[in-house]
Amino acid sequence: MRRLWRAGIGFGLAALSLSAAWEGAAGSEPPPPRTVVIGTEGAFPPWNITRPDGTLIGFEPDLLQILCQRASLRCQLVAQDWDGMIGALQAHKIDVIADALQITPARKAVLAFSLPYAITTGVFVTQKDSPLARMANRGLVLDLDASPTPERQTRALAALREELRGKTLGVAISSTYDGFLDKYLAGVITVKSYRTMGERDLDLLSGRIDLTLDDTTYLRPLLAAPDAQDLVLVGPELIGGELGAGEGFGLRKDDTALAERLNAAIRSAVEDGTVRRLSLKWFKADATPTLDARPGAAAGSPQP
Amino acid sequence: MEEHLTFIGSVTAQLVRAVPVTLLILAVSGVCATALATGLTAMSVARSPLARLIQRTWTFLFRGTPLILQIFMIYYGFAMIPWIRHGMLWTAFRDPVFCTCLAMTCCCSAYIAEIFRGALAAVPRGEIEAGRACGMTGFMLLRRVIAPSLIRIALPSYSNEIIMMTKSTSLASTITVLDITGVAQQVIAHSYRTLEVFCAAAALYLLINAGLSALLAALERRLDVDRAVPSISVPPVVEPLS
Repeated sequence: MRRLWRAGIGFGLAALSLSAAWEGAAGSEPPPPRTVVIGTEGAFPPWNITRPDGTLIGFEPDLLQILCQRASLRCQLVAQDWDGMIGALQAHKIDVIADALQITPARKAVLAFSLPYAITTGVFVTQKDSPLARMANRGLVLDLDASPTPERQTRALAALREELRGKTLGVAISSTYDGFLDKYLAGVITVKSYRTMGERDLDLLSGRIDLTLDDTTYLRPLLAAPDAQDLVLVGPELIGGELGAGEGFGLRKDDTALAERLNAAIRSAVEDGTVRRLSLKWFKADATPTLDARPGAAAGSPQP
Repeated sequence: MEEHLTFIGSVTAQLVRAVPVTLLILAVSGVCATALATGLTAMSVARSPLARLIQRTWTFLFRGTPLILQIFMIYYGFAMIPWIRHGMLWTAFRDPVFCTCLAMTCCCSAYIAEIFRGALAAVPRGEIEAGRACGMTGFMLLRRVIAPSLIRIALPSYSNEIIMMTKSTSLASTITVLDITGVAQQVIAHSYRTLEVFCAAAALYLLINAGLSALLAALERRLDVDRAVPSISVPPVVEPLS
């Protein structure tokens, strides 16, 4: 009986995969729908925000709604803490990470990335009464991928090291900035890691840390909040290099089928101005990334 | 396989360097909580109703709320109070290790005081009466009769509490302390490998607790008068030659 049962399952599966293959071969037909669980933090405004009723809103939920439709995916968005998210992806608890994940070289060693769907800079924030409030090169954008390195950039980085010597900088644990801090500021500053951005912000307000480095789209709206009156944006803005070439979806390395579907959807959303429209809505600035002209190009390769 | 072993080796080396932080939190909060619990136990049997009320309220508050909330309240909550943030106390409250020790002292003193209070109630009345009959009063009665009995009765539960405290020190990692758990999370954040790192950290906690259990068990055996070999040899009564 059990054997028969197994044979039945085997036949069923074979029939299913055959029909799938047939549908795939049809070409013009949309790919069969697939259910995908997407992990997000729900605590990184304006990228993803949990409303009091538990629903998720923000740039990423808005964008995903469009992308999933275009890639014919049945997407289920779940909120979870950032510190366990990569583990959850590798344990197949989720299939995609959508949490303003910068495509950095360090992360590419363990994750696959989609094409970038946004590009934003890292900025420093400190307290208004801190000596760091007068940091040099405010607003200067340092592109760490620039080659050859402009002399002004080399001088700005040297100035940064001097100004930050002996200071304590707070970041969210396994943040985008770990690689940058290791390379340019190791031994110069003390880095404190927090489980969430919110906890880090509290310690910045109370003065336990001297400054923080985080994404401009997160910090600028924070500075506008009434509770953050004592904080100020300082120093240069960072992009490229260890900070990565924009934000992409994190995927398992073996899930190339999903990567292809998402990439096609991202490309169409970048090209038809959907990304621009949504980033203006949520970031009040255009964060559209420049994608390589050839389709299927490797994600995160240095932008020209 | 070999790659796994080298990774576990290097992780363990990193974690071992964090052991002193864990032990420091345990030692400071263990000693302070025990001292505070002794005071609370005295208050629980004090004549003054106010003292008894304070002890009961303390136990109610700190035993009734989660330790992690107490840690957050002291670390993040107190930092919001202007006179703490701009006053002399900030030097202490700025430090996450101090905040952890303070929270653990308050929380664990409530538990230990209850252990001591139960043990005090279990000291045989006959022993106290015998002490009184020998003319002992006040402090001498406490030192010679009540305390030795109380310690023997309380020790097994007290050991349990100390072991619970060892594990509770890991909560310090939630407020940026780089104790064993904090360093483990840092390593995971950089390597994205969870199983090996958590296993190595768990092994270290096991080792610390094994050492503590052995120490406390030895103390228990030493204090066990029923099984102890008398250390003073009583000279045999020799009948005088007539």
